[in-house]
Amino acid sequence: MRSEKDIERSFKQANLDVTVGAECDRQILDELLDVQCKSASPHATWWPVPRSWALSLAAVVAVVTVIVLLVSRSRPLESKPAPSKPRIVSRIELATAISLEKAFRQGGIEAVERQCKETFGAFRADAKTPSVDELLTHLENEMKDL
Amino acid sequence: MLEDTVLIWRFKRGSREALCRIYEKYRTDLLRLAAMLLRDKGDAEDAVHDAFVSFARSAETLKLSGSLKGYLLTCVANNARNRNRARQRKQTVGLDEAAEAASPDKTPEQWIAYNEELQRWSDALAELPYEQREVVTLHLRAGMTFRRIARSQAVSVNTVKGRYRYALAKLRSTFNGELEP
Repeated sequence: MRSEKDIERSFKQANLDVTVGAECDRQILDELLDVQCKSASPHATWWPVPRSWALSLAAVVAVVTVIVLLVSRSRPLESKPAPSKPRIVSRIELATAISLEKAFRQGGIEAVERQCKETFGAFRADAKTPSVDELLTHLENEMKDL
Repeated sequence: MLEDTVLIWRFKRGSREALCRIYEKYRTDLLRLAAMLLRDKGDAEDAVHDAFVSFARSAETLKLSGSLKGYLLTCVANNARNRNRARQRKQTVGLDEAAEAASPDKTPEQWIAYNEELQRWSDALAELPYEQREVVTLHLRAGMTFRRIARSQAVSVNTVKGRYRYALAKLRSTFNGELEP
């Protein structure tokens, strides 16, 4: 008499063997591969991630691109260059510019030319490089004359 | 298990080799299960064939929560259950309709051959009602838990345990040569 435990054990351990026909096996495998080919969607992704992931990735990229474009377009408006501060000019430059302008107003280009000649003539007569103070003094005198 | 994970990953990306490997790895287990659930060899072959075909089609939608083997065994069990129901319905229709309903593409050559022991157990299991046969086979041969079987049969765990007890008692009486009450 076999108990239920015996039945359980013998069914679990039984050598239940099936032999598969090779020809039929090959036909079924071919059919499966065929089914796999046909069922592959025409727009299947070549990207090695699932299509849902690819779509999510594309959406994220699109959003980021839009944000970057918006930011880059709005930046020039926000960051307009501040009005440039007046350049600090030296006393020599200032005096030169003022004297030349005055000469031009009074006598035109001829007066400017004359003033330049006198200035360079004075330097040549000294035959030495004038100091800054000398130059300023000379220009101030010129301006007084004008 | 790791191999199955890689196989599924490759299969979902359209790998033919992965599908071949899955087929070669599990066809015998599936055929054995189908042979025990369905007494008819042709039906058993068809059940496994259909399960593999639907698996091959499901590459994009497949979502596995457990093992690949468990998934395929459940597919075959569900297919076998449907075939058993269809067979019962067929017994109530006329001969002409039954001939029309028969599978048109059944190959003349048999796909599988049973050994003696499988034939003996198959005969013994054939004495059981289908639901009991399914519970015993899935639990003892496919290693499924009662909870999982209950989920696949859409019944309670207690019902499955009851079917299992009845099935064992009947098998015991069959093997001991006792008469059924």
